[in-house]
Amino acid sequence: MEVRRATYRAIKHLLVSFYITVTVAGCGGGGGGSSTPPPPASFTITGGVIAAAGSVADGDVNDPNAAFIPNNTIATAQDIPSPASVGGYVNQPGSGDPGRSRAAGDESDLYRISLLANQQITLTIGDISSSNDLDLFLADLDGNVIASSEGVGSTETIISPANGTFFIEVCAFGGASNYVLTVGQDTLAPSSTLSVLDDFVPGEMVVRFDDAYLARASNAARLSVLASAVGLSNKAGAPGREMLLGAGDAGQTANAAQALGISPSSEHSSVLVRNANIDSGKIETIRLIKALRQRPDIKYADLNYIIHPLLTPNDGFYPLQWHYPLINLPQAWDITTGDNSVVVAVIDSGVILSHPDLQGRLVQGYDFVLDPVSAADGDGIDNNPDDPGSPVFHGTHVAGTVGAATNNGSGVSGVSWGASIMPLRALGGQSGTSYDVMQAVRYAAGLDNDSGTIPAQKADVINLSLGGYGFSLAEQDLVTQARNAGVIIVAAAGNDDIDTPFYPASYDGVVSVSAVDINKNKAPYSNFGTAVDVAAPGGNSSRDINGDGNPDGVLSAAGDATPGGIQASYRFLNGTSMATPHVAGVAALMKTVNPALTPTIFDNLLVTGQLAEDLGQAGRDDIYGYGLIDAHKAVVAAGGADVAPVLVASPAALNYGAVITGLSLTLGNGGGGALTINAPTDDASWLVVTEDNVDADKNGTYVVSVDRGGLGDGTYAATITVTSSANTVFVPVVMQVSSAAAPANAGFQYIILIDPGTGDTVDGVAASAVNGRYAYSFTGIPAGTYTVFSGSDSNNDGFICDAGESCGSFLTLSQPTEINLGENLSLNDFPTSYVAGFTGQSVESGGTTVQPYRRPDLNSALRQLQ
Amino acid sequence: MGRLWLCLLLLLVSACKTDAVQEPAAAVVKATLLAQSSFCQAESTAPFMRLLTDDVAYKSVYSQARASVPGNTDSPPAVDFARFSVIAVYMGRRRTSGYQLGLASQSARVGENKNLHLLVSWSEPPAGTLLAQVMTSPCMLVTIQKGSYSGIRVIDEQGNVRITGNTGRE
Repeated sequence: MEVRRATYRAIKHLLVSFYITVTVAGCGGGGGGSSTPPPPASFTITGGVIAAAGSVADGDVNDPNAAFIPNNTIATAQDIPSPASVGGYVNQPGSGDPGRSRAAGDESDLYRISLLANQQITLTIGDISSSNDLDLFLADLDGNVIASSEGVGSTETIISPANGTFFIEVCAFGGASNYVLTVGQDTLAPSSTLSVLDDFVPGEMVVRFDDAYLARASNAARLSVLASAVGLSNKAGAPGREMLLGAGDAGQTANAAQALGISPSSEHSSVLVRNANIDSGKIETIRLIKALRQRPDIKYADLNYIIHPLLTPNDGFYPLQWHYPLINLPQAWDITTGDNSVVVAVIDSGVILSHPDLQGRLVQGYDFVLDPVSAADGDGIDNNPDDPGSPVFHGTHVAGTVGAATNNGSGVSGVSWGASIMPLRALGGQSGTSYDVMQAVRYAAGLDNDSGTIPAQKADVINLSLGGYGFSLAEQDLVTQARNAGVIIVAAAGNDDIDTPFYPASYDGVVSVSAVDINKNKAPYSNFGTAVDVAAPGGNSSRDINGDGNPDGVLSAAGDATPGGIQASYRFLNGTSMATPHVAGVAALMKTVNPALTPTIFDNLLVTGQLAEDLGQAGRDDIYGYGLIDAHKAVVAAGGADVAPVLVASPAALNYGAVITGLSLTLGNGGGGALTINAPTDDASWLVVTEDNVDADKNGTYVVSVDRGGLGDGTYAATITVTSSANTVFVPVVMQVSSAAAPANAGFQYIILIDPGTGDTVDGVAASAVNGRYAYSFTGIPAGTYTVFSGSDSNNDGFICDAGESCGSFLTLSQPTEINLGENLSLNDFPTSYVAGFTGQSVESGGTTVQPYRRPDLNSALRQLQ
Repeated sequence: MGRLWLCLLLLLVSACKTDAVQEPAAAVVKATLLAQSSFCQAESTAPFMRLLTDDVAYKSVYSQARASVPGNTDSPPAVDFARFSVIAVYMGRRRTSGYQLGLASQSARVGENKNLHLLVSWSEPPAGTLLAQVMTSPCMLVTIQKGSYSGIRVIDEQGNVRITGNTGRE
């Protein structure tokens, strides 16, 4: 700032009284003799400056000419609309330029605002320096902090956690600075922030000393000395790389704060209440980090964040299910855990319907075992798929792998937490027949079958952990029918360690699954051969390689037949039966992220290597097929853009606040292929959607306008419905009507006339907003070329258009228009606004760097018009 | 998965399926089913049996038979080894479901050759049927009264001798 002032002092100070005289040559005419030349021609320029919609001025900036409405407490919090751009200023006592608040300080500005969930609140700090540091807080209406951003960079960001009314606080942690507070609008990406609500170890800091400093320091090799130099103790690490430094107990932390030259946290300028449940040590740790980052001998200083594992279920037996991390399921679960709209049919021995880990997971099934003796339940086919006691309870185990009740604090986890399981019984007490299995497949696929019924919703995936060595044309034909009905069929490759084709796995159109053990090696029992498509964990119960005291089998739900009846239990089992439901469950996850997934698409993704980890020989081989199923890869591949078209809307919601009348909505194809969009419809008389720039398929931008005329005060909601050839999207719209809403305000404006050739201020006036407009008039201006600028001077340093202040220019700030003055002119109004994205001392607007300009000296000749 | 074999008197091998053996009827000893499972972790594919004569061996075998159940802490039914022995009968490791083993009679006949005939239900899946592709290992534990028999024959309901063994006594 001092450099800038010197620069501008070096520029001629032409104006104190704002008058310029120009000598103009006399013109024509007879008569002799000398005469006084006529005064030079001068002209008047008039016009107005409009505060940009959504602009709000901090009620208590440092400029004494600006209005003064304090907003330093919860009781006096300033109401602001959403979205909004707020320009303001805060300072610690004794910091900043002379002005209204330098002496006493203006440490805190509070705003009250109604927010939608996930709206972004960004604080852009104008005067970045080693001593200026502002923080951002979000609090509930009781003043309790619910989120914070307390870094030392140029921006702080908070995402609104919910719909509601909140307090936003901008706080001067140190020094003084202009700022722009932006709510609900696209802003810069946030810099590194520090928040007490993040998960980190209180009292610990990851620090690296500057290499150049270490090269000079004689004590560089003594870690304890290095640490104590910043008031901390060394816990780990070494010079030249990251070190773990500790602040110790409260007393030691206070000593560290003193050594780093920071005041105790009790003196923090925030007026909000820190959550009593937040460790005070976390607050102190953030303050120490901030201080360390200011030091030249510190290369970086960061919180010691606590890293959490990927999404893992809390089921008691999950830690024993090694087969899930083996296929990257936790990573897949970070994307999706499945949905009950996807149905997986488990054609097997039935399930224990009362098993606790299958409760809430099942849809109506059926029992297709025709022979009552084989069925062991006293009857033929019926609608009861309960397993009477196989005695293996095989179907229960398979169903549990597909989708046991997961993350319910007990039992086992399943591959797809959300998929609906259709239990279909086709295996009796000992075995099953082709005919019974075929009827079950028919039912699952929604085809005509012996039950005389079809399910309310057909299956998306069929799991067949069974088979034999007999080929059947009838079965092959049925597989084709089921595929054509959109069903993905997955089957076990067999357990005989031979390469003889095993059915139904070897039918065309069936995904054949071989088995691997805990080391991703072929399970000793697994079949192999040309029909194998993919491998999955089947386990090897004869080993305990991971040393957990349990056999290395696949753990899932099971049952025990006792004299008192069937008891639910859990078991480690192994076989290609256990491998198959892993693939079926992954297919269900894929179907969740891409409802348009077909068997053909699944196959294409598999053969192109997008669903599996390649094992064995490169590419496909007879042991692992295309590799070990990789749930994460598969889910990502299924959600890829090349799979199917999908209508997306941007933004996902429209918020007009109290003043905005029109917003742009973009509708387009978020996937692949072609997408045809139908004309959007809405359910509000005050809402109009019109095409702005769309192609023949109606992809493109629309203008969504609102008309508040005739509406009473309040909040109005509506929905725009957009249908397409792929899917339907609903765009919520929120608008506020407030007769008491304050018009836009960009702060007390100084409007100046500039000589673009010299950069000198030729004339200037000051103005307050009237209904969002600042009128101005320059009189007695000689002919020439000029530009007009307008801006605020929140920090009262004598210059407008500083970073964090409002700024505008005729016609636009991005392209200031030169005025060739040769007559009286009335110019069009131009906007002034607080613009996020200020960098350093210059405003970058549309690629044009705009310098701050000296404002008029109102003490000499006040030219305030309003 | 460790196994402790302490005080184990006899390990029998060479299971075989032979024609029915006719022996003159003699004493009858009581046989009681203690436990059975389809997942007994047999080491071999061939059927075999073990004669357990003390609590340590019995609990070890029982624990192994329950090894597929995570966190299993079940205690086996109590056995009075002063009066009884325990026979552990294994069908052997199988590659599918469909195999079942059970006690067909609570009366085990002792023939004049001092062979104890333990009658079992021995079920295998029909050929050509569709089977669940899960590795199984059926077994059962049976208490038998101590007696003057020196050999043990596991015989199915069709009269086929599935497993033969000796007690080690004359």
